[in-house]
This record gives sequence, structure tokens and C-alpha cells, in this order.
Amino acid sequence: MTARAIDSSPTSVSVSAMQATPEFNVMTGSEPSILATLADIAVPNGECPRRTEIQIDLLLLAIEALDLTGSEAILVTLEELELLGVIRGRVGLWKVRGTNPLRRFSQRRSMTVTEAKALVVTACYLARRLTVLLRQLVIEQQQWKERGGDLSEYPRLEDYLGRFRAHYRHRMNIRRVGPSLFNSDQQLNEMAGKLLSQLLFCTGTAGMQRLWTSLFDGEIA
Amino acid sequence: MTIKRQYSLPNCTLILEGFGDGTQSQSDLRPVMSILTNAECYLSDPTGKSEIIRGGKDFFESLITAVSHHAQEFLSGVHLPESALSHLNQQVQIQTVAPDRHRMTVTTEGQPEQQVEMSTVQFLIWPRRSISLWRIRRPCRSGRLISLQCRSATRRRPPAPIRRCRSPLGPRDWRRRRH
Repeated sequence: MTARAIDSSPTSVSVSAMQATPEFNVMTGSEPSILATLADIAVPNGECPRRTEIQIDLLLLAIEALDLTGSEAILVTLEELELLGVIRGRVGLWKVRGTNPLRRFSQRRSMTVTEAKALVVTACYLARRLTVLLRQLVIEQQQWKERGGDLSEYPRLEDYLGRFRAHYRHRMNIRRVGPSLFNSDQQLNEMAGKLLSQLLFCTGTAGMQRLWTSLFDGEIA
Repeated sequence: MTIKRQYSLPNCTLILEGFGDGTQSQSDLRPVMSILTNAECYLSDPTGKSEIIRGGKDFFESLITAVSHHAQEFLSGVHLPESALSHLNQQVQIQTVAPDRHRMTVTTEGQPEQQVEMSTVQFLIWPRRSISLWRIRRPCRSGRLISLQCRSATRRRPPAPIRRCRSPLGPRDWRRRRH
């Protein structure tokens, strides 16, 4: 007996798994059930490490560079997944993303594990919607590296890289040592390319869980 | 009953052969493959060059483990040394040989070592997607599932030298300079 399976994105499986999540109960502190798909990581005081905060914000920055309406899409997705109880609207999102210590207007507080989970779920959900574009851009990037031609030959990739560099320089405090290490166009292009591959990894089976686990790699005892 | 399953992707085909025990999958009512006897993976790149890697149950389990570990390493950048993986079956190993190049090495007893080099896109599309596809449509019983675990801080690379990290120029520094 032979069964033949043709390539298909796992979107339908994952999207159906993301339906019907109860709202965050502020009084009891119980998490929406969709967040329970991500493992609880034992971090001190329930606060995320610095690298996790940076990485989550950069992934969302890459999504905003991919999709012109990305910042609105993040809010809409939070609402669709009933995660507005965890991250309260536009200002709440700005505050949570402001925990990235590289930002110009960085918050003093740290990102909580629940907030990090909500942002990771949102980023993976949006990445799945952008799977085709992500795959095309990753292939274009590889071709550009191999052939070494002019970036203008790949207009979609050029647009993405240009927008990412603009977002990064606009929002990060590039006078600080960390961000200034990624100040040149070439370094920012490399970072943007790596984020593309990471987002593409998130679109696969268990991609969300794998991304979540990898965010804490090397950060726990 | 002999069961053969084929999972096709652009430039990659995974074929699994085995036996069923008569039970059916609840999701699609197909017979469940309870014993895996043979796994073959056909890889071809856009230039037309093709490779075949094949083996039994141990090979397939090793392939899944290697792909999972390498995917996590790619995402986090935290490398696990070989000593940490020594308890696992290492018939298939994947290493990063350049920023965008990955090398899969297959060691089978009595046969010469086989090496397949691939780019990140090929790694994403070839083994990882095909195994993802197998997992989604799995009417097979896997002997061992991969458990995702965070890697310890001891595995992290040492931070940048202190000379590169010192004295960030924050707003306070600017104020001090003015006075």
C-alpha cells in the first residue's frame, strides 16, 4: 500500500489548534490555554533574560519590515488569539517591546514569561501567514550571496532589508555598544537575513515550541 | 501487512517501509506502521545532482534527532559538544561548516561514509520539512519522540571581550561631558 503526500503547509493544523482560547484572568492570573502549548521555563522571578527580550523584539521588527501593516497585524493577531488580557493594546505592546534593552526608550522593567509567550505565539502565527514570502526571500538571499550580484536585482529582498535597517536605526539606541556593533548596512543585512531564516524555521511543525526553547538556550543554569 | 509511505517535497522525497499491526490511525483511518524497517531519503538540488541516504529504524531515529538538534542550534547559536550527544545514536550527524552551509554525514556499518552538503534553504526544505510532513501525517508509531529542552548556560559561548563592552554612551555620560 502506498500513500503519497504532497507538500503542504501545516497552517490548517496549527490555526485550528489556536482557536477558542479563554481570556486572561487577571484576578486568578491563569494563562490563556494557547500559552500552555509552550513549556514553562524556570527563570528567576519569572523575568526573561536579556537575550530573550532582544530576540523577541527583533523577530517582531523583522515581521514589521516584511509586512507594511505588520504593527497593526500584531495587534489584530493578539486580539484574534484573545491575548489582549496579557498585552493590553497598543500601549501595552509598546511597553512590552520596550523591555528590549537596546531600544532608545527602553523600559526599566523586564518582560515576564507570560508576555514573552504571548509575543512568541503572535510572531509564529504571523510567520505562518508569511510562509511563502519568507521562503522566497530566503532563496533570493541565498542566490544573492552565491552570485554576488547587485542587491537591486532582487527588489523584494532589497525592500525588506531597507525597511529593516530603517526600523532598526530608528528604534534602537545605536550609540550604545551593543547596537552599534550592528551599525553598518552589511551587518544589519546579515542580521535581517538571519531573522528571515529563524522566522521560516518557526513555520514548521513544533516550530513555535522550538523557537520558545531556543530563546532560553544558554540562559538557564 | 507491508506498508510503504512516501512524503514528497520539491527536491526531496522520504520513503518509509514497514509493517502494520492491523490498527488504524484515528485521524485518517490509514493503517498504522508499527514497525519501521527501511527509510530512504532522495535529495536533489536545482542543478540536478542527487543523493540517496538510506537505512533502518536506527538511521531514521538518528536522522530525526540530528535534524532536531541542528535546528535548535541554528535558532539559538548554542552548540552542543559531541560529548553531550555521545549517549545518542550518532549514525547521522549535521554540522555547520560555513555561515550558510550545513554538512550531513551518514555513517553506516560496512559502507563508506556519506556526506551531503546543503545550504540553509535546502536544510529547511529537505530533511526538516520532510520530517515535519511525516510528523503531521504520521500514521506511524515513533519509537522515541524528541523532547525539546533548553541548553544550559555552561554551553554558551563566552561573552565578548570586556574592552568591547565597556562604557556605553548613555544620556548620563552626555550630561557629564557638558559640565
